[in-house]
Amino acid sequence: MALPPKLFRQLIVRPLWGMGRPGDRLRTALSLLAIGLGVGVVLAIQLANRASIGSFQDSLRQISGRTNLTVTGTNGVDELLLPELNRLLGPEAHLSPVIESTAVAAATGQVVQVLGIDILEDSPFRDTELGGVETSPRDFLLQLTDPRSVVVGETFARRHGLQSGAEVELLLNDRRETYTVRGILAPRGPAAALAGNLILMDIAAAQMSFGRLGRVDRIDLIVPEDELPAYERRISDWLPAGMRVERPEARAEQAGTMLRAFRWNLTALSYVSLLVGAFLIYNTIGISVVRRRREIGVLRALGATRPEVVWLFLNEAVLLGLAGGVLGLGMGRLLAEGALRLVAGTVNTLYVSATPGVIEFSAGLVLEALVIGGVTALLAALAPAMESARVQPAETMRTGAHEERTSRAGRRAGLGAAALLGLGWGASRLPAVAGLPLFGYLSVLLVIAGFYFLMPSLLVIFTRLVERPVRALLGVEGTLAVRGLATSPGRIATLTMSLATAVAMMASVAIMVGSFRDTLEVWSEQTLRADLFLKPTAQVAGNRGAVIPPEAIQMVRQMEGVEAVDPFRAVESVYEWNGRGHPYVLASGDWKTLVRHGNLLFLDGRKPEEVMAGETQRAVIVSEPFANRYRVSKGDALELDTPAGRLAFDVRGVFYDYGNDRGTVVLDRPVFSELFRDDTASSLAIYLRADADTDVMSEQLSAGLGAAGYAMLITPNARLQQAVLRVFDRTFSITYALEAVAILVAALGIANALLAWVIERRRQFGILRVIGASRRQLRKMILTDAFLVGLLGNLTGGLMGFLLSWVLIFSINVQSFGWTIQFHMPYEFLALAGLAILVTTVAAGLYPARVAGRFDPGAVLAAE
Amino acid sequence: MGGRRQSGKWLAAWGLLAVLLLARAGAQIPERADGFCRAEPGYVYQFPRDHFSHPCFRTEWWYFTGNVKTPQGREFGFELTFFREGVENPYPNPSRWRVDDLYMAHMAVSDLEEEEFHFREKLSRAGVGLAGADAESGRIWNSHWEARWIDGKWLLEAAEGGHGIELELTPQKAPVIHGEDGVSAKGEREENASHYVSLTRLETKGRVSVDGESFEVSGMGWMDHEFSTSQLEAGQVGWDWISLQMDDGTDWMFFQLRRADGAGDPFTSGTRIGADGAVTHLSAGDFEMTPLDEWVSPRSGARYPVRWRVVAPGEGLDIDIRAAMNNQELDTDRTTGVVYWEGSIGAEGRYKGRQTRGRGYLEMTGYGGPLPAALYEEEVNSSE
Repeated sequence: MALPPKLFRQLIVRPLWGMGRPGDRLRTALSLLAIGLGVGVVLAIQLANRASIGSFQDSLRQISGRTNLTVTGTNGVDELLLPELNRLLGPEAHLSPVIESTAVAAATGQVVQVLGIDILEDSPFRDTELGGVETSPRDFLLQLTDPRSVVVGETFARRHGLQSGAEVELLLNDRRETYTVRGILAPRGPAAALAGNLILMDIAAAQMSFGRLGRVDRIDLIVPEDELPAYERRISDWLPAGMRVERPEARAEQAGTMLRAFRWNLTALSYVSLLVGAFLIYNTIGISVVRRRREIGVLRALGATRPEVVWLFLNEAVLLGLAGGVLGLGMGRLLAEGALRLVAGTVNTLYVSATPGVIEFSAGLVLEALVIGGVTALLAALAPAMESARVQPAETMRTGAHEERTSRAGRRAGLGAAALLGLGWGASRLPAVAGLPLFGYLSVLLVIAGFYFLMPSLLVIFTRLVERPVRALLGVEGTLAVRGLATSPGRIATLTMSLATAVAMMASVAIMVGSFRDTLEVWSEQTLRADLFLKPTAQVAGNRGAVIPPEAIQMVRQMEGVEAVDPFRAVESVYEWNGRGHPYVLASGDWKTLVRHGNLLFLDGRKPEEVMAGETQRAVIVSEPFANRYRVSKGDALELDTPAGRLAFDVRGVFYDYGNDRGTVVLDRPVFSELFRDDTASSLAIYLRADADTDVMSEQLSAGLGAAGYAMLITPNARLQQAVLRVFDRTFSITYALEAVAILVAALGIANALLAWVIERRRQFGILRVIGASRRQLRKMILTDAFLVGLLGNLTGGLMGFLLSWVLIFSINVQSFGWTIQFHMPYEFLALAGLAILVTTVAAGLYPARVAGRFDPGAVLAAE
Repeated sequence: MGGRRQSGKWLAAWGLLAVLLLARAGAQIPERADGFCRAEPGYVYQFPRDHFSHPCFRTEWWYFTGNVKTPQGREFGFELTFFREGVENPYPNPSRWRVDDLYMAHMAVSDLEEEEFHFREKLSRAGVGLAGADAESGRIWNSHWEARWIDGKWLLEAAEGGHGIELELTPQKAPVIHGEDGVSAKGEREENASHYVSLTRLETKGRVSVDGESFEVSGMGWMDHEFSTSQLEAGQVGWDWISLQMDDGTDWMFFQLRRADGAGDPFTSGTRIGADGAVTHLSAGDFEMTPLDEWVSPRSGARYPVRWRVVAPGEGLDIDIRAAMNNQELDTDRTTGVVYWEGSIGAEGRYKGRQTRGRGYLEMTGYGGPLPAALYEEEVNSSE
């Protein structure tokens, strides 16, 4: 474009940085802060996602080393399969049995990945070497003869002050025990992949410690790369039922699928802040255009073309966007630590034992921040910049403040809004795309867009409605304030819209979370019936695979005062569906005990005794997410891979469950134990005799199990109910945090816009002052405006939020996670939040009000 | 220990054992209880049981070596060795993966025409049956490499990276028990000794593969099986071992321990196996091995005497022994950690006034660095 850079500096940059009028510098800072926060939140979530989920996938990939095929099975692989597989594959293939789990450092509570391997067989697969000294595989192995031996990664060693020969206390499976550090791993291979947060054990030791004698978690294979498909087919044909051969990428993919909905929703939520920021940019550029109408006119009169003028303002937006991006980079980095903690906590609670990775700042990220900032700003500024093109040179020669042309008010805008809202409703009814609620997101955007067009009309109606009461309450200042709003509906509408969007986001998520929490509370109250619940301490601390051995279950059963025990066993499994493997949870419970003592809520309202009685040999019940995900319903035959082959089970019923979104299939315990040769339990539900005291029993059980060397955590019913909600609150704490940021962005926007507005109306204020208005009165006017904008934003946002919450609960939630949430309005929270926002908005008017008070009437009038 | 004292002539014993062999009966092989056993005189061998594992002893090895050629006359040497090393593991763990023994294996093919030496090695634990030496199934194996005893023959199978052997070895003579009273003494102290058995003349046929190319071959093989808990004493730095199968039907084994000070070691010994299978023990004074030419390994820098003169005046033997090719060095970095030379040799000389020639294998240890500690004496819980 032909306009000289000097002009850009003069016209755009200087006013931005406060060489123009009072308050401009603050206004620019607020704009930057708003866009910066938006970009920062998006980056923070991305960083946290990458560090927790992405690094989990990376570590899965890297920990598989040079493995090119992996044999897995439900609940592990019988180790006796190994020699047979070895014979089948012949001398050109390598095999390495692997036990993979996590342990918890007792001192710090840190979860650490544990790899149990046969170092001799594993050397072609992974680079596991001791740091410092060069050790032959033979000597390495001999150092691990004592099964209480571990080799640890550097980071873990440093954090816990360990060196070779030191002792470390670990919570591992059903025990808490002391292990001897036999060496520190060199930062290569898996140790490097997990950032040194790794414990290596000999496979014999790992089998004993994790209670997996006779079994391994998987067998890694290296087969000649050029014959990989042939080997894969050969293994697949030969493998016993219930076993799978897959490429190592498949595991990372499955983990990715499992976490995808969670990640997407978080990302989508983070973009709402950016959307709020975009409204502010829109507003800022709009103001900029209006304020420079004169200059635009002059430029045009001097021969500047329309595109040149548009270009000028787009440049301003991009400049703001880029600067905001840079600021966002810093904020993203700051916020990422917190976000990572929250995200990693949730991933750990709900999905997999993953050790959080490191937040990595890359050049790509810097670029991304600039692009997000720049593009958002550019898109947001498009409309107001186009507006500048319509400025007629002649028109600008007249003096005075001008409202930008607005085409948004009126009937056409109303029709557009109705159409958008209708489309939004339609989109919310469309099914998921590849398991993602893409149409749900679209629906949200359409609703917001609809309200955007509706807003000017709403503003007009609103000002008419409030004029009388405001005059009655606040007198002439009130009237002037209301009229002021009415004279620039376009600008005020945008401003209100940015607030309304933030409020809507807050309200919709609050309604969704509140509904979810309420649903969960009712559900847990009705289904968690046992008096005591028992889990391995290690499991609670983060070793998700920790189990209770049968001996311990027997001890509990025989304890005086125990009426019944329901051992629950959950195993991560893979369900073949649509030609691909999907992770799900295969579980078992004692159906008889559950029918007699416990409870489950079935979708069709039947009682457990109606659903779960009778022959259970080929019967399952499935959780609602499973039923939704794989379109299974009562009476269907469900085919599951078991060690006895692929068996068809009769689906007896679908039950409400909020434990996981992968879906759970529950077998009767005797059936499961026989089929999967597993008599351990993941947790126990303990029902006490009527005369037994819960606290006393809890203590006795603790003491008895502790004396036998077990580390188990016993939770009374009431505490478990609380714990369920605590986990829930922790899971959603990140959404609360994101909401807070969005509101903050909106408040900044209000301050920003009011300030601009005040600056804009200098002349009006000048005249008011001249004709006798006091500073106080001006302040009152501006605060009233702030209050009115806040009120309208709150009301509109509340309405919009209510609509969005329906989309969230009945479309996005169901499509992402597959569970039903009963709609429930958290009135109290919403009222309080609304009040807080109103106060914030009024507070946001304080500074502009002061600025208005500082105007010198004479000077202002003279300048104009 | 068996407890029965062996008496009488070797041959008579073999006759008796042949019967026992068929009956598959025999004394129990001692288990490793509180510690390792030691080699003691009077050990009663029972074959084929004693061809397999003796877990009570710390170190055990099985060497199959031999010289074969194609019908067109292309010559190869082969070596397939299995090692078992007992590990002291007092820690209870019911896992099948617990390590009580380490299993190692070496395979080498000497391509005498191309003068190329192809060597591979393996290291495993028994685990779920990845390696072992089991009399029940008649197998000595390490991963895919194995030696199977079927119908009085050894079947060897080992391959990796395009090199390998697939051979059938049929004994032409009864097992030879070296040393005296079932014990091959290796040092001053009584416990520094081994049980050492050989099948000295194995008619060999099958296939040898080199660089992916397979050859039909036939020739002569030799099997050594030795088990002990400690063999060497301080000051013994290595040994030289020679096996020879002469055209006249006689087989020879010469074993010489070397001392750090260069002095001759009194526990040098040998065995003559007559064409009729008669076994004669040779002591240190009965023969002399003199190194003639040296070959310096470019890989390890070790200097190996690749030509020897062996003179046994009492036997009327004076022969010259040469390596069939120089580079037959094994660097077993990943398994035993020993650098040694083991390869095909040719022999020519005079025996009882007659010109004689033959083929065999030569093993030289201790030239490329110290031998592993496990071979040396240490406190041993004897079974007394």
